[in-house]
Formats: sequence, structure tokens, C-alpha cells
Amino acid sequence: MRITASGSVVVAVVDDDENLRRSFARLLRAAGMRSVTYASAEAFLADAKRPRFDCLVLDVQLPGMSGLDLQEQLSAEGNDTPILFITAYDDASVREQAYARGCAGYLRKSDSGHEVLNAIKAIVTRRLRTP
Amino acid sequence: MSWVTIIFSMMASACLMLGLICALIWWRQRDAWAYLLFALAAIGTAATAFTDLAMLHAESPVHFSAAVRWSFCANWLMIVALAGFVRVYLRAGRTWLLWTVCGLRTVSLFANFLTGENVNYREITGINQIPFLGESVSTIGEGVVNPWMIVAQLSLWLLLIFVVDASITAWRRGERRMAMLVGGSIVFFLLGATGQAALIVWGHFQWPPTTSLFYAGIIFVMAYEIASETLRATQLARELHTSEQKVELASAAAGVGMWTWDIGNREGWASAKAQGLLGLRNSEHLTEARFMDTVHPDDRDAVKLVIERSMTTDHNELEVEYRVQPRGAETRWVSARGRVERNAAGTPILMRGVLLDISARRRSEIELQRLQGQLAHTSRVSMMGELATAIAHELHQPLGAILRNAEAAELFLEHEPPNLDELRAILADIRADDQRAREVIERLRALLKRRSIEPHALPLGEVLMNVAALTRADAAARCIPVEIDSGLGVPQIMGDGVHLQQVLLNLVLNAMDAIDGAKSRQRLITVRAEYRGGRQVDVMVSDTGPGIPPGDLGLIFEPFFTTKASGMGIGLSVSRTIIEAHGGRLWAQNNATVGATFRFTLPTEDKAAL
Repeated sequence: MRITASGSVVVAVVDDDENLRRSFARLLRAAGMRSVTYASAEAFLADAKRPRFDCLVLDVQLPGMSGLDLQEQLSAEGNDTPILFITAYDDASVREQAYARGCAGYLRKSDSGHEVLNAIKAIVTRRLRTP
Repeated sequence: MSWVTIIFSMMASACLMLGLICALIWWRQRDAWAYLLFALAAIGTAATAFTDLAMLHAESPVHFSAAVRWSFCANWLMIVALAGFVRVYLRAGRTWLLWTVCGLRTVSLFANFLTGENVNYREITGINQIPFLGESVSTIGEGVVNPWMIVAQLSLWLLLIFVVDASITAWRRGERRMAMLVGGSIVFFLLGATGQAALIVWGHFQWPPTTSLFYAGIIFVMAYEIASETLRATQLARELHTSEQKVELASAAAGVGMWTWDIGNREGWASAKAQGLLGLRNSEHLTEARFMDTVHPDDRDAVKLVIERSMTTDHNELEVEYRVQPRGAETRWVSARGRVERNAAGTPILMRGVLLDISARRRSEIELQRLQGQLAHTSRVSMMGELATAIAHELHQPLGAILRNAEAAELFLEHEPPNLDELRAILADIRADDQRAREVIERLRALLKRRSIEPHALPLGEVLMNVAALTRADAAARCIPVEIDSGLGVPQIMGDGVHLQQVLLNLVLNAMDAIDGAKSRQRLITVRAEYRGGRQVDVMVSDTGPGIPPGDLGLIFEPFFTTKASGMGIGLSVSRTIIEAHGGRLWAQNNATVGATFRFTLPTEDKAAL
């Protein structure tokens, strides 16, 4: 298990809204985490130079490939980056599906920043502990 | 008093009276020559009666001869006037014949005074007494006949021919009664008079000369004829008046006012109903200024233009609807229609027309527009329910960003020292997102507000982009991609952005429902704008749904037609109304491969002949 060179956490953020991406990245920065933002699932997949992320923050509603589809694709590729879904809608069936495919967490956009940060921290810590 | 005196006097008076009355009528109406000529003939007859009386009571050949001479004068007047009367009254008879008759008669008049004692006799040597009406009267005894008498006789025969000819012409013209009465009576009585005179002179019959009696017959028949004509004229006038009254009544009942306008004198007349509509008082003289006064100030230019246009050579009719603002009454809408009458040279001299109160119709038109607006509004409101998801998502984005920014700011403030640059950037972003949220709300409010169609030049791409933004959330949630092709090279159109947005939203959401409902394998909606020339732009919304049953292709645009459980069925009907109000067409067709396409046309910006 490699820890990133600077010792800080790197989070990938995929959301189609630019302002939301920027503000979320800022929040992560304020909490001492680094982030790389993508506007779509395709952009994420297309980034060949992407670092090994400690967490992937994903919206469900995305243009083109949806968040759930990306989750499926990554697991098919063998990518085990933990995925935290943050979505505007709280749909029970979507939540079930996400957990069934092994997501690490499912939050709403209206949930407070503290909750989100705590969730991310918990995910990262769990990952570090796992051999 | 002798019977002879009584009879002849009465006859003379009667003729004189008739003559005087007709003379009076002619005095009042100088172009009714028939009356004057008749009056002269009547006076001639009266004079003849007096001379006849003188003859009958003559005591010596000299007196008798003098009476005969003056009698001929009276005759002359009677005959010439009668000939003229026939000519004028029957409006027939050869003019040359008329002049010949008068000429010959005048020649014999000269002969009457210049060739012996009178035209009939050079010299009357003896008179006889014969019994007549219970007394003894004189008649011709012996005398030397004047050869000039032939001329006089000839003129009479020619007169007869003239009258017969004139009567035949009148008969052929169809005025049979008049021809019979006038022609027949003159011929009959003249023959009588002439015959009697000839027999007395040539045939040596011992009869009293009673020419005037025959003439009086003519006069009385003519008088009867003239009286009948007058009666008929009065009857016609009364019928005309009744007919005018009926027209007035009918037009008043139909609410139609009538008017005429004298173009030359720049003044006009309006019927009672029209006066009422225009707010004119009964006695008011209708001048151009007064008429324009009744027209609503905003409509004055339009009315003037229509009036002027109707008087140019190509136009003869005018039709204009405008508002009337009568003094002290409420404004009303009227429709004025008229026709221009021209003289032989083609100059307009008169305008005649009707005026109709159309306030009720205008009011219902306005009411209809209002209801249509309401319907569009209701449809929009019901669609709002469908758009709730989209709007919610649109608002969530800026609000979500604001929340994250605020939370980040809190965390930054805990740093020692606080990172002021970051904080400034955060505040700027918060302000921008607040603005974005405001815009979304404004767009929603505009969509909800009832608005009449205000067209202006509009780039279609803008409308399509707005619709794309509004439907993005729905499209993503339902996993139906919406492809927008705003079409480069598509010219600007004349339209109302808000209304067109509504139409496109309706079509796109319908397309999504179709695809969803059919659980199609292929899921795609394309919205494309195309310009193929012809001053109109085509917009197409295609889906990959099950298509539309061919029988329903027309029905789907009917109000309240819906196949959706939760639908109201007015979206397509309202959409069609909106497109048609833009001067375009909206229709549906099934695609060759899969699904259906809804298509509408819009006029380009330069085709602004709305």
C-alpha cells in the first residue's frame, strides 16, 4: 500500500457542474486534501496520467456514462478505488444498486460538508488499515 | 237665361279653370312643359267657346263673320298648343310634321286676317236661324268660300296624322293606356269638329257651329289623363316613402346605420341609427371636421388613409373597422363599409355606405384571446409539474456550490493565519452562484407569467440551448440522451422566446414519455434546426419511441386528447396555437425507421409581414 509522496490524500471528484467541482475542491483543500476534478466519467477514464486516488467522489447523474456505470466499469477493470456517491437525489433503488456493487458510501449533496469530509476520512483510514 | 248661353259659358269657365290650374302647376315646375301647353290649349278652347257663343247669337252677317274670324284665332291657339302638348306628353311624333302643322296653321291665320272676312269665307252674305236647344240661333246662310280654307283644313288633317303617328309610337313603347286615351280622344273629337265644320261649309248642312264643344271634349279627356298621372305620381311618392321607411326600419332593426357623403361639398348625411352610433345630435350638420371628431384619436390616421385610398381609380369600395368615441358615451367599435359613385368622367362625387356596431364582436374576440392566454398559462402550469425535477436540479447546483463554499470558508478561517486569498475567492464564487440561482427562478417565473406573444428577432440556437439546459436533468434521470443541433447557418427567426421554449419543452418531454412508455431498446431524442431556403426555418424533434398510430396523426393536436394517465392533453393543442400564431405550422410524422418526428416551421426574421 503506497502512501502518496507528500503524505496527503488525493481525491478524484467527478461532477458535471463546474461551480460545484470548484467549491468541492476548495472544501477538500481547506481540509488539507488534494483533489483532481473531472466533468464526466469519460473524462476520468480518458485521463491516462491520473494518480492513484485514495477516494473517488462520484455524482450519479452524469452526462453520457452514469456514475453507476462507471462504478461497474472500474470494478470490471479491477480498480478498487473506494467510491463515495454524492447525489442530488435520494433514490432508494439507486442506493441499493450502488451498495450492491460495492460502493463505500452514499451521501446527498444537501448533507453537510462535515459529514462528507468525515466520510472521506473514514474511507481513507479504512483503506490505509487494510493490507 | 238661354240654355245655349249657360252651356257654352259653363264649358268655357270649366276649361279656363283647368287651364289656370295647369298654368299654376307649370309655374311651380318650369320644366313641366306639358302643363303649360295644356293650359294654352284650354284657354284656346275657352276662347273658342266664347266665339261660338258670339256666332250663335250673331244678329247680322257682319257680326257672324267677325265672330268667325276671331274664332279662328282661338282655334289657332288651341290647335298649336294641342300639337305641342301631344309632342311633349307622349314624347313622340315627328318633329317636321309638327312644324308643318304649326306652319300651315299660322299661314292660315294670316290668311284669316288678310284674305277677305275670314279664312273660311271671303264674304258672308246671309245667315239663317235654326232652332237649337229651345231657341233660335244663327248659322251660315250664304257666302263666298275662301280658297285659303284649304290650307286650314290641310293643317287639321296633318295634325290628325301627327297625333295618330305619335300615339302609335307611344303604344309600341308600351304606354298603351296613355296612347289610347290621348290619341284616341284627340282623333275622335277633332274628326268631329272638322267634320262638322266641313259639312257646314261644304255640305251646306244647317247645323249650329259648335267646334268648342268638341274641343272641350279633348280638354276634359286630357284633364282626366293629367289628373290620373298626378295621382299615379303621388301614389309612387307614397310607395317610395313607405319603401324608404321600411328600409330605415329594417336597417335600424339590424343595427345598421346608413350614410352618404358628398365628396364635392365635403358634407354628409347619416341615418338616425348611424347618428346614434356616432354620437351625433339629430340636427347636427355632418361636416368633415365633425365626422373626424367622432373617430377615436388613435384611429384617425388609419380611417383617413382608407378613405383616400378608396377614391383612387382602382378602388371603389371602402371597408374599415375603427373606434368611435362619441361625446359623453363609452367608446365602441364600428365597421364602416361604403362604395364610391363616380360621374361620367370618372371623378368620385358621392360615397354611400353602412355603419355597423361591432363592439360585441370585438369584445368576444378580446375575451377569446384572454381565454386562449389562460389556456396557455394553464398548460404551462401543468407542465411545470413535469419540470419540477429539472428546476429542482437547476437550483440545487448553485445552492450546493454555495453550501460547499461556505463550509470551506469555515475551515479556512480555522487556519493560522487565515488564507485571505482563498476567502476572497470563496466570497466571489458565492455571489456568482447566488446570481445563477436568481436567474433560474426568473426563468421559471417568466415561464409561469401569462404573456401575449411578443415577437422579435431571435436566434433559434439560444432557444434550443435553453431547452437543453431545462431538460438535462430529466434526460439524465431517465437515461435518454437529448442531442441538440442548433444548425449553423440557420437565420434568425421572428418569434417569442418564452413561448417557443414552451413548445420545444412540450415536444421534448412528450418524446421522453413516448420512449419511456415503450421501453424502447434505442433511446435517443434529437432536436434539430434546419434552413432549406424559402424564408422559413424547420425545427424537428425526433424520438425513438413506438411512433404514432397513423389514424391519430391529426387527432393528437386536438385539445384534451391524451394517452397519458396523468396528462391533461392540452400541451400539443396549445403548442400548435403558438406556432400558428407565429405564422408557422406544426405537424407530426412517423419516421422511416423508428419513432416519430414532430416538426414545425417558423418564418425567418425578414419575412416580417405579420
